[in-house]
Amino acid sequence: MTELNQTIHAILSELRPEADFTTSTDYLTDGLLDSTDIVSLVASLDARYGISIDGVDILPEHFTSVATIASLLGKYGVVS
Amino acid sequence: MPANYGAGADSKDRSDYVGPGGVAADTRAIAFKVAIFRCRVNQEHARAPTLPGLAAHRTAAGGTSRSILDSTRRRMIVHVGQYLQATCDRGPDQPAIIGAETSLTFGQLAEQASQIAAALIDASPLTKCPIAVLLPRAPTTVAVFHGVLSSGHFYVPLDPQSPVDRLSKILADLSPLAVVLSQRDRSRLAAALPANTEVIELETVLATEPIDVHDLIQQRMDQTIDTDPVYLKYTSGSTGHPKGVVLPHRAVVDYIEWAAQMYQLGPHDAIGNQAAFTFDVSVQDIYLCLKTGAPLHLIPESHFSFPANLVDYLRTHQISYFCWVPSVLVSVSKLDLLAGANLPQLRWITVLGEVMPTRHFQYWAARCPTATLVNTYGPTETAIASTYYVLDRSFEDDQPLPIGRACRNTEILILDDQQLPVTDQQTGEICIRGSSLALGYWNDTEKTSRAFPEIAHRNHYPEKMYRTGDLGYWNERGELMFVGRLDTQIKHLGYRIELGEIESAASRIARIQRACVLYDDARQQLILCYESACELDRGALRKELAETLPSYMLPRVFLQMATFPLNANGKVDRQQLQSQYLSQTTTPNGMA
Repeated sequence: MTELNQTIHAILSELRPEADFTTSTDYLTDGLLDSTDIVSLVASLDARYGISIDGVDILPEHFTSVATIASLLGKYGVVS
Repeated sequence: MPANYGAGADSKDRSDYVGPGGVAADTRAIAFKVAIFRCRVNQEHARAPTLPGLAAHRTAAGGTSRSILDSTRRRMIVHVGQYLQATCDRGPDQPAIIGAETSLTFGQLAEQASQIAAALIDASPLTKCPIAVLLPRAPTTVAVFHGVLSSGHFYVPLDPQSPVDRLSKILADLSPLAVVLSQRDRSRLAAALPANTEVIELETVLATEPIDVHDLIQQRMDQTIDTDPVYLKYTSGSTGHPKGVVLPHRAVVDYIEWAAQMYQLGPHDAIGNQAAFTFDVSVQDIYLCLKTGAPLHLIPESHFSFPANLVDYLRTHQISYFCWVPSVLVSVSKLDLLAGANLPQLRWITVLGEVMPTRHFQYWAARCPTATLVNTYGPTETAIASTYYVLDRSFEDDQPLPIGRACRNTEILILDDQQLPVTDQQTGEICIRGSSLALGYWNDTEKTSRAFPEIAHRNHYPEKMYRTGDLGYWNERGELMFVGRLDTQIKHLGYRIELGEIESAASRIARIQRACVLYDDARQQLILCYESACELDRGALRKELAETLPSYMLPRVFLQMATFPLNANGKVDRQQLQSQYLSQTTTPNGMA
């Protein structure tokens, strides 16, 4: 796992310590992230990387896995 | 028969002879029978000298009054089911409820409802019993609600996704006559269902050949009067047990008649539903649809996690009216998602359920020039909203919005701690009176009499009011302003939560000696402070709590202490816990 992926994983686990993000293939359909989690997650990512994720980019397809979150961050210049 | 053969004399004579213990009732029963006998005799006396013309007149008069009654019944709404009947007669093929996967016209809605009603009528000759509806927010669920009402019962919407432990507590308290659920949830929910409850599988009922139960339904609806229950909703209870609030038909009709006139909706409109069916805002959405013929769009849940999709939905489905919890409006406003959005069809933006932050309300007002914005207020114990404020001026961002004035046929009283009206603009408890009040709490007369006491300062006759536990005052314009709570009830993302319910769940965890829950309004997060010898794993704690609490009640922050600070009365000092929490959050806690 890259450092970026590890950080994303750590943020997710901080948010939902009881959830298992390693076995899920889709966080949304598996019910691991609800609407409040998304808001907190975006705030954490913004703060961690000093970016401001645009509202129009907060779409389901970007929050299904560590990989999709990483590629969303890539759009904002965060590279692994 | 001598005229003085009276019940009074008879019972008095007998009572002289009876000994103590259980005989008074006996005496009363005899007196009652004698009284009935005397009345019958008197009636016969009255009938005896009837003149031929008078008899004819009497029949005619009887007939006239019956037809007046019938036509009044047709016009006056005493049963919310009449709304669908009338709208369906006007346009059975018009779209009624539009879901993500399925949709129903008014005709289909009525047809599915009568299938459900038939199953319930078949299940029991009883009426006016609670029917638990454990179904997701989908078009057919509205048909089930209507079917329950058509069969002379009332519905209790429950979230099938709730923890089984919580559902089982609720169902034990409710003892429903029947539970309506989906086939796929049956085995998962089996542990929550009380032993002698009739289980009705939705799919099975809808697959059966429809039978004509029109007359039976009409009969059962005619037996319903408007003070009979229409629905029962469970809300968070401070002792750890959710409490059931019972609403009568009258309360919903009273509110919907006002709302329909206020919002002037019709078949050309489109209602955008956000509220879960367990939340009373959905009652407004459903009955505004059924009364006015405006189709009800059930916006997919996931759109509320991804507000960009929500704005898109408003546009593509041409939503003209919605009533959402403020958090949803805030999530759109925070991300500035209305910047390029063009929503000319949006006529009404209304909010209910928690405090609406002024800045975000004004954001919506500026971006949606065609819409009128309404801030409404009302507890579950009254039908939907009790007060409303139509945005008519601009505010400073830090200035709170009024919750306005009372809806029609409702009165707001602001009372001091002696239950007397406050003077001028003083702050007091917001109390509500009128036909929109709930009947009380299910199986809890004590809580009911505490929350619905008689109005003390109008003591010439008894009249009930509802004590909201909310504090408010009238501003200089005569608008009601909300200030806060008298107790530890909070609103989190529109959900009404008694902190005591979370504390009670946490106290059941063996390694926790004592629990106290705080709410951080600014960060919108719940904090669990717990007394324990050592720090416990957050994940394990959340997992354990999730067995009894719905996800919106799960704390985000956990604070372990060896002992809690106590106040002078030996109670947990919440104030001090709050400052300890704040001192810890000045440094990043991993959340920010």
